Amino acid sequence: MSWRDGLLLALRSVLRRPARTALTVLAVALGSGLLVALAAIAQVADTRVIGELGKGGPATAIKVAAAAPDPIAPDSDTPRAGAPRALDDAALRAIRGAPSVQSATPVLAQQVIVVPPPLGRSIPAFDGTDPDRGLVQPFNAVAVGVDLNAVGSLPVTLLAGRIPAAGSVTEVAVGLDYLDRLHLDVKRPEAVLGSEVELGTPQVQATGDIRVRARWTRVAITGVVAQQVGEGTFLASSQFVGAARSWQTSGVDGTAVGLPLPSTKYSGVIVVASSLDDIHTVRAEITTLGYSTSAPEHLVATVQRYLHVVDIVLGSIGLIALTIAALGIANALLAAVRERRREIGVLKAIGARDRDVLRWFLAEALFSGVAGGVLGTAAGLGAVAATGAVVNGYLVQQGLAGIDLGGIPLLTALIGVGGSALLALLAAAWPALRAARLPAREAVGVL
Amino acid sequence: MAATAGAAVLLLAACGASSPGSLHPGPAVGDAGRAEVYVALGASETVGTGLNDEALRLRDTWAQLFFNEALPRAATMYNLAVPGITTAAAQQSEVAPALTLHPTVATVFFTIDDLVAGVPATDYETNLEVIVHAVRQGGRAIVLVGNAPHIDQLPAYRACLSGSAFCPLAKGFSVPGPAAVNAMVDAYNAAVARVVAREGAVLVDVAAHAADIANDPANIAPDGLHPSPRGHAALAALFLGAYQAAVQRR
Repeated sequence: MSWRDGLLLALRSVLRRPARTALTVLAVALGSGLLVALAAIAQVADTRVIGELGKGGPATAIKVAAAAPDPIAPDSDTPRAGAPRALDDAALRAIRGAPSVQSATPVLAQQVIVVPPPLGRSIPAFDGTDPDRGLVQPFNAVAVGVDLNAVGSLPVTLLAGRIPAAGSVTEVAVGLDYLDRLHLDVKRPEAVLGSEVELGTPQVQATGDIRVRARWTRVAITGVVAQQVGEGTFLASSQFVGAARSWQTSGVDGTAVGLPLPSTKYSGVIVVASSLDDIHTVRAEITTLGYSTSAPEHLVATVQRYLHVVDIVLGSIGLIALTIAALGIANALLAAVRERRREIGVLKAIGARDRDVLRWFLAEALFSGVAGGVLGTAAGLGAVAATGAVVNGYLVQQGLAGIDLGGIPLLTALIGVGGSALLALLAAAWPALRAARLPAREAVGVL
Repeated sequence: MAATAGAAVLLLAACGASSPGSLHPGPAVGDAGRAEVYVALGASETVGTGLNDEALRLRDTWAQLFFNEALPRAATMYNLAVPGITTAAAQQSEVAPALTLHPTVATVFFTIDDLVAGVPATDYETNLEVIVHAVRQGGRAIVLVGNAPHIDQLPAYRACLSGSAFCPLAKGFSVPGPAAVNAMVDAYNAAVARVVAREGAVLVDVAAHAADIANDPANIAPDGLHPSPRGHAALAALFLGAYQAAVQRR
């Protein structure tokens, strides 16, 4: 008997008991579907979280402050900054030159006066009773400037819109506190996209009475971000903040009127280590250079532990599901062997060998495994897509960035189908061997 | 518990550490236009004196309105005006820093303080010409020069004339009668017209509209001297019209 004969015989057996076949296939589909879904979710968690962390991505950025290190606990996640210490180009070069430093991006910060829209003649006329006219009052804020070409390696999460163009002096992104200031719904950040805001930089003049002059610019809001680059409402290019800063520093110190000159060129530096394992070493090196650092290294380790636990739990659930599916296959085939003793006996009586009978039952199990695997994998991937859509909807509703689950993971799909087939063969091994070893005389004699 | 919450935040942060772009399409941000540099030179009305509310001063001064209406988003404005300054003092306090900024647009609006200081029209003309000539930088900048409004209808002037306590001038300071004041203003405005013609600047004829502005109490600030938000809007409209006409001529 050839493989082809074995397959035809198996197909006829499968079709003869459609209900049992359907239940067996469903059991396999359930197991493989669950495993594929859990594997895909775990894969996403690994690639998007551990992967990012492991590469020393934005979530693991080390923030260097313009201050001396905390003498008590310099390596805690959020140390107390020591005495102010200027961060200048020499310090930046020293940090960049330290071993295991992948990148070091300087951060500028500038105090600005914010005049929210409306601007120009679209301001409602003042009738002499309410100077505010229901408008949002101008307020003081801080603009944070960085090299926007390097934003991918900075702790910046885009919530809506886009990051301002690199080098632009007419575009900014805002934090959610800007929406708060404008009494807008933070769950609808897109409401501010494309709007303009006027930013003024004060300069104190040294002429007798302290006099303040301002430099004014209008900028378009291109995005809403959550950022840990620096304490500021606006994220802009270093060129924009640098120009504003030059204007202020060409005046004199205005501490008396709450406008002190900045004591450091850079308000901070965001350092990315070459790998997750290097964060501690890099922090120690920067501490040696005399600057305070903060990094979520303890938090990262905790997250890694949690993710490993999640992997173990998900894997265990999947294995239980697969074991149940395997038992289902074995049970169905054992029942089939019992039912088909006479057929086995007749086949053997007319010359079939043990391996022909083995092939018959294994082919039948293979059919259940492949069919169940295909169905289960499709259902599992569908479940992942649906879960992703629900999670993304929730994240966006909460004002957070969504998760990109990517396309259909081909490897996961192949493993899902192939694994189900292999599992079915393994589960069928004992019933098939039992059938194959059944003596013809005994099989026929049962009747 | 705190660690769990922190882990969740970090996980979300890692998930959301997105590259530029993908959640919502980028907003429709129009062309930012030319990177004009605008300097506002002047005295108290350009600073916003009289607008006692901080929000009004930041939003409603005529220079601010002019900047937001007339110039593209890529423009930068420097308000260098100093309250109470005369054209002589402004050459050091305002023109010198203005020249370091290389302006492409400038507004020059000095009137009342020279008048109050008793500066003769000939000196005013000389000083104004120095300012306009310097700021124009050989034609690199469009320079708008505002002339003086007639002030005989202003509540503050009338208070000083009648010796009322509402008069903002120092005690014992006597003001000339309306005819004399108007004659001085006319002499100043003739000086402004000559300077504008000689230097190729643009005249903003505030005097021609002063009656409309000064006769409406809604245009005057509570101090009776400076413009209210409505008055600033009227001034801004005059400067805007003159600027747009000048740009068209170019």
